[in-house]
Amino acid sequence: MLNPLLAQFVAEARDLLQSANEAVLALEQQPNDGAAIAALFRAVHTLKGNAGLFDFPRLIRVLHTLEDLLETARRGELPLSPTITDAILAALDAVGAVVTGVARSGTEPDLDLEPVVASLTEWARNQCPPASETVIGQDTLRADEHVGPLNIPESVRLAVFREAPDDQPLHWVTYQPPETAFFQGDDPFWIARHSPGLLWGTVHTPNERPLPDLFDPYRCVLRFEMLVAASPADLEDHFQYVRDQVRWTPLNRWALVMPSGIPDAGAVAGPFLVAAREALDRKDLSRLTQLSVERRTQLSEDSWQASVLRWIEAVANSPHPHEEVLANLLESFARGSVFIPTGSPRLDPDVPAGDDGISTAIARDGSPEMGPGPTSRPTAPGEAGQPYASPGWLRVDSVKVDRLVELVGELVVAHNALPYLIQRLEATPDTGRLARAFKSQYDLLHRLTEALQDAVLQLRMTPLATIFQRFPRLVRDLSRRLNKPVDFIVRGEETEIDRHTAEQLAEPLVHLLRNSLDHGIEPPAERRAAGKPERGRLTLTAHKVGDQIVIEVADDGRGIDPQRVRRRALERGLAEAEYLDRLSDHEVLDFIFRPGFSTAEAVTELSGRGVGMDVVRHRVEQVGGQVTLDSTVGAGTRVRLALPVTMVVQHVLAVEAGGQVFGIPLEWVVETVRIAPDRIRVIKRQPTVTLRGRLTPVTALTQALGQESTPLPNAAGEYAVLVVRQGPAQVGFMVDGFRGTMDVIVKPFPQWLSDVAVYDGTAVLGDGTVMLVINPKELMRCLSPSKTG
Amino acid sequence: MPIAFQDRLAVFHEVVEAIDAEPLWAWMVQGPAQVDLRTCTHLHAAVLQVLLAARPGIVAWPDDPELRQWMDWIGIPEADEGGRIRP
Repeated sequence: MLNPLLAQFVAEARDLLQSANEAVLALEQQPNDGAAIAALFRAVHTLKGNAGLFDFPRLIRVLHTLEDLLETARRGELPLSPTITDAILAALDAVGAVVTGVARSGTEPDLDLEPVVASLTEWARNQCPPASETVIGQDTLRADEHVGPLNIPESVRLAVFREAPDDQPLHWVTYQPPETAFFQGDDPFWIARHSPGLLWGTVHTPNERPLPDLFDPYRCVLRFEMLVAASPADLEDHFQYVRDQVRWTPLNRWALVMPSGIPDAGAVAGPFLVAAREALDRKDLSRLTQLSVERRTQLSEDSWQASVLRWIEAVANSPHPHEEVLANLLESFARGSVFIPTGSPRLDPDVPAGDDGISTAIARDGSPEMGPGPTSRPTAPGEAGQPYASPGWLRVDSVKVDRLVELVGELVVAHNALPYLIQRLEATPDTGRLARAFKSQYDLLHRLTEALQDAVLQLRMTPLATIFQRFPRLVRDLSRRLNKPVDFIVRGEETEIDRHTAEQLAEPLVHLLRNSLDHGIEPPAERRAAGKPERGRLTLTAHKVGDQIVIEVADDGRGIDPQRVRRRALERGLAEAEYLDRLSDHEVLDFIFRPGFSTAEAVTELSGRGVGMDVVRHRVEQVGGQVTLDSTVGAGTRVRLALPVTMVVQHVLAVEAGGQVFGIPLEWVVETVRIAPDRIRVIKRQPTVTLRGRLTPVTALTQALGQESTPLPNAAGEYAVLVVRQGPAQVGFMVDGFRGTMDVIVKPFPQWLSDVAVYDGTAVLGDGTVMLVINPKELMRCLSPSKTG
Repeated sequence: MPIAFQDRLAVFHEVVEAIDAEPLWAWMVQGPAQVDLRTCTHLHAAVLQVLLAARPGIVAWPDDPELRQWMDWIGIPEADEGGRIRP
């Protein structure tokens, strides 16, 4: 099995290649599309950064050259003609081939990428395209083609395996006509239908359903895939007029041997296995077939085990039954998990297809081995017990999980409506018993809903290890480059968090770690002089606190000098001197997160990527979290990210004010108190109240929201005050009353209202009331800074 | 005429050419549509992608075995609720 870091790299690389390919295709439509160039550049740049964590010199070289070329294009110095985009696509294909190789073997495949590099370099110099062919051979598959023959239904594969003529090699053909194909007079479907030795074929279209107005029947968006039994010469001949649109790869028939179906947990192997293994040992294949057929009648046809048996029968009765494949199939049947073949790699273009060696038919992730030949390697023995397709694991499209999460969220809200109905029943005479019955039924439903929601949210949870794993290498490299030896300590990487949140966190965390190394930790000499150990200490910890995940990045470096922060804030015009002086040292540190603030004297190569701490805060807040920072001069800095475990349902405190219901996300609420009017004192024309020894400005929520009405006191003459905190600032909002906490699904405002920043959106309550959910950060921004002390 | 339109049913005859793709799409988007492929022997790729995009209900499969085979491989669904366009 690939180590998780490499697996992550491969998965991300495939996504990035996909985005890059899409951007190139967009550029072909609109050569001057700045957004597409930027997207392409970003994808390549990120991919290069990711690849830098590993020892992939050739890959980096291609990406680096490509990045140079794109940089030129981005500056507008190189118009992207279709021939250049060809070179770019060829380079992306080459990168895809390397990634496929990495996915298979864990190491950089031995591909000659120099022609690709040369071609890109030529273009970057703004010269004529090199004459030589830059595509690295037809055996190179595009990233999206790695699925290959797995798409073929099992019945077809079985038939082909049994009946395909021996004298013609099998080929996997992909045919992607250009969008203009129809105007060139081609009928790609006719060409595909009449492929020589056609055994199977299908056509792919973009997944999204076209909008009636946007669909152009004459813009060809089809991609054909075919399985043929034909010689390369026949294929050359048939596709001669569309040669540049077609690729084919020799396919060994053993690559078709691939059971499919749903594992039947009840299918105990037992006596069948013993007898079958014995028959195989005696090379009594007809006995093996007979046993298999008998066993199969007891199984459901679409079960995994039945599929394995069908393959056993097919292989045993083929002209060249291969005992090793049979043994593997039996093993696979016994374990109820994916068939791990052994032996020599297959599909090497330089090995004649159709020979009866055994294919490494399935890589660990279930993809057939179809890559460039010389790099193929047999599946490492260590990979064997970790098949993705084993019954313990399901690979589910994340879109489906997201849909499920959304539905459960709606279910929670729908079930929240019931208490209102029960209340109404209770209030109606003579229905008390009915109300009680409803109540107990509701309690049951409530428990079930909660459990269901929890289970569904768990589906999307991923350990933080998936993002933490890349950091030790990053820290190591940086510490070497900066000549600052550090001990990097990671704790709590097993903590689970919503996958979306995890994805959003990677970049901010990289930035924080870089900052600590770059600006926090001192060079060894300076540390020695300060009486500290020469080796710095950088810790990354995660733990769960209530329903929050707290991630901390801490260093024992020089800390942040509040006086410098004050000076910088002043220089940058972020606040006035008088105000800055009033803030405590701790409070002033919060300026680091303001846009336009940077403590680094010079933008360094490491940290200065235009990503500041303001972006860190923004990212974290986007996923519903908060960032805080503590620093002691000479002792170090600690940045704390508090994140919700899941993102879907928001816990809000519902309050009433001015006859309306508002929701405030609970994570912002410090406390709710009732305050007699005589406790409110006016300081500098600002009504203020002392809460737990802390002066807290208070203001009516309706006023803060620009409404007229004033808060209503309760019978005892007290005002309900909601205390909200952001960073060091704390404000009390007077409301008419509290309606308790609840879980709601916040629906963002429609586009045309989206500049109403003070609200996050709306939520429909059980009784049909629409609640406006306040964005406390924006609300506090509306108040003048002097009120948020 | 390779396509005969009968109310909401399009009957394909023999070879349906690229030129028919546009009127076919224009007709498909007007509402639920059904297609009869029985006597069709080939349809141009442009027409094929209209079928794939609009997903009309197929009320009769081609008699031509090869074309029928491709329809199976591609997984064109049988008529269900009469076919419809869901943009």
